[in-house]
Amino acid sequence: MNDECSLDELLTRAYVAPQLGVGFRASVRMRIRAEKRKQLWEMLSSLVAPGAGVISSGIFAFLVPQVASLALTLGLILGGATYLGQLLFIWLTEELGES
Amino acid sequence: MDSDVEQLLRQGQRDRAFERILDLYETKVFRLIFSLVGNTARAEELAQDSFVKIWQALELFDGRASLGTWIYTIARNTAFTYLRAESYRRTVPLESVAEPVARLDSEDYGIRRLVERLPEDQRQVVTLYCYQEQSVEDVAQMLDLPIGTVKSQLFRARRMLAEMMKEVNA
Repeated sequence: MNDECSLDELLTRAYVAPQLGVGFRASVRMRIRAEKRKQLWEMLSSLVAPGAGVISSGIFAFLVPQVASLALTLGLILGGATYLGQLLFIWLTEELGES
Repeated sequence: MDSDVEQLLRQGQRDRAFERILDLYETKVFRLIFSLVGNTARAEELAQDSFVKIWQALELFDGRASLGTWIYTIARNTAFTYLRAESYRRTVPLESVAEPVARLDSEDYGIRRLVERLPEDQRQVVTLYCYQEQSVEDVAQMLDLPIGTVKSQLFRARRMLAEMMKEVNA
């Protein structure tokens, strides 16, 4: 029993629990804030495509019966532009997520 | 207490629940990871990773396992993933394995060297037992082991250490 006690004492003296750094919690909070921003951007990113689809469908439903050729030309231009815009948005999202 | 956290989660107060988790578990998670990786800076970094994962998964916590068990599982998995990646990446130079210790008189150093010769599971139980102020219950929850298993591993470790000490002193 004495041996066991002295062994435990030896172990307790030799294995002093390490202490967390003072900035630990601040670092965790900072990383959580970054994570929240990333999640927000991801959510916005997933809303861009359906949102743009709804708006452009509404505009063209109004324009096509009146000026078909202009509406189709505009449709092609806007389709290309929004595709490029979406690529840019995704790239920006990834850049922000990494920083 | 864990029930405070669960109540806050039920009320949808995720941020407050997370702060409470930090109050209750930051030191324990850090010590658990330290006992696995053996390096203070790395353990702190992995503890941060664990808490980010805990925050991300907090909405999915359903209370089937106890909160502590759930948190320690995330922490252990984070440490094991790191250790696996490290073992593939490189072999660790011998001098970086041992942490500089706060008290390094010859007796302490001797017992640490003997503990390092124990089987891995016993070594981990012994070090966590010391870090957690000799609470068998804490160690059992941290390692997801039955209390009886922790007690028997401690018993075997003590017996082996006593034998090794006899050999050294002979």
